[in-house]
Amino acid sequence: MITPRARDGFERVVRESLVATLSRDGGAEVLTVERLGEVQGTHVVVLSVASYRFRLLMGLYFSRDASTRERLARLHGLEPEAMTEQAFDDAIAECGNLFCGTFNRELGRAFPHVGMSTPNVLRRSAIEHLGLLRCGHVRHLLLTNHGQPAWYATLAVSEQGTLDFELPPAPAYAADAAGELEFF
Amino acid sequence: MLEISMGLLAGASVAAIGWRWRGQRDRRSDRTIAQEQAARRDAEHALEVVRLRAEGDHLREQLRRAQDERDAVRAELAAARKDAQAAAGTFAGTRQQATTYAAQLAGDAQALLDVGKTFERWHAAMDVLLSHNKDMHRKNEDFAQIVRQMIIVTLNASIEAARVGAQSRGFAVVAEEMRQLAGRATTLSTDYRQSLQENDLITTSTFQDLQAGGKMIMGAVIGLELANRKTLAVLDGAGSA
Repeated sequence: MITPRARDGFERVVRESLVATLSRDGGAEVLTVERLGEVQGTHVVVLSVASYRFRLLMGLYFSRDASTRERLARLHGLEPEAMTEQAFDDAIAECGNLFCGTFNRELGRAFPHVGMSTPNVLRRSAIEHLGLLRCGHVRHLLLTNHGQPAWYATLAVSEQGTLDFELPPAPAYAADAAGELEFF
Repeated sequence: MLEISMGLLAGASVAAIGWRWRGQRDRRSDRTIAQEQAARRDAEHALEVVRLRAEGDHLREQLRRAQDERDAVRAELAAARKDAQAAAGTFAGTRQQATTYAAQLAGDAQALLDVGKTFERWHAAMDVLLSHNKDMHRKNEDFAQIVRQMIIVTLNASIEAARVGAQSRGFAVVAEEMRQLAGRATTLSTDYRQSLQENDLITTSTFQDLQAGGKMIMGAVIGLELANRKTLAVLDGAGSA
């Protein structure tokens, strides 16, 4: 069982991580998407964050289309023409890494021992079977930039026993790091 | 009390002599006056002797007490020195034990870091499994493509049988059977695709859980090793102090 306070904590961090890593010029807003059917994207890059008594699956949806290519190029400071298939794959994996890495780092304020996986790309249809993971909490979100849909994301938490925590206040440097995109 | 009594007695004597001397001054001879003065000096001397004796007694008592206190302090110091020596011996033994255990822990933590190799092995195995899933997806797509072709062929066969008429009734039955088989194969392929999709999610999430959990464990072991290193440094510092 995940307490309402823990759900709020997870959601707060995932929303902040989306804004911090996938929007560049402000005007970003994160909306709740009620049903998976409303989520756009043919594929999803997934990463996991694990601790002793829970694991989180984070999904970032995308399609291999021109608008995604352009958005990725803009985020990484490249020309869209420079986005080869390999560059596209690397860039989308990097976006997942940044998003989940920020989430993982922020979650470390509440859980001293957490670890993060490397990214994998799945067909979006695989996510429709999330119920198999016996998640205690699933949330679909949409990051908009100046009112335009930019990124859809899913947070799925599987827990063992009762999961409750309160996120400590963010340290001062977190605000400075927001909005920056770096390769690592 | 003795001191006070003696003082009172001497004072009274001096007063009596003074009174008599003052009352009979005119009739007294010089000799008498000299005797009285000598007596007075004797009384005063006696009084001084009494006072000095009392003071001496008091000082002797103070000295005796000071000596008692000194002896008590010496005894306490000796006991404290003995305790300190015993404690130093115990501490040295405890420090030696703690150093031994910390060194053992350092070795274990270092060995445990090799668990990273185990995670790499799991990683490699899961990569093979994910690659295997992709291959099964591809084969199922090939199978579904064949089934779609079969449906078209059986449909063509049915149309051809209908065009020929009664003479090809047996052929039409076979075509219909084939079409039904192709339909069942389509259902099977669709189910299989869904199973593969489920498998993708379960395999990937399990693989990622292992990977992330492995990194979490590695982080915890590194933290333990660091804490142990600090403990060893403190013990070394305590030993050399």
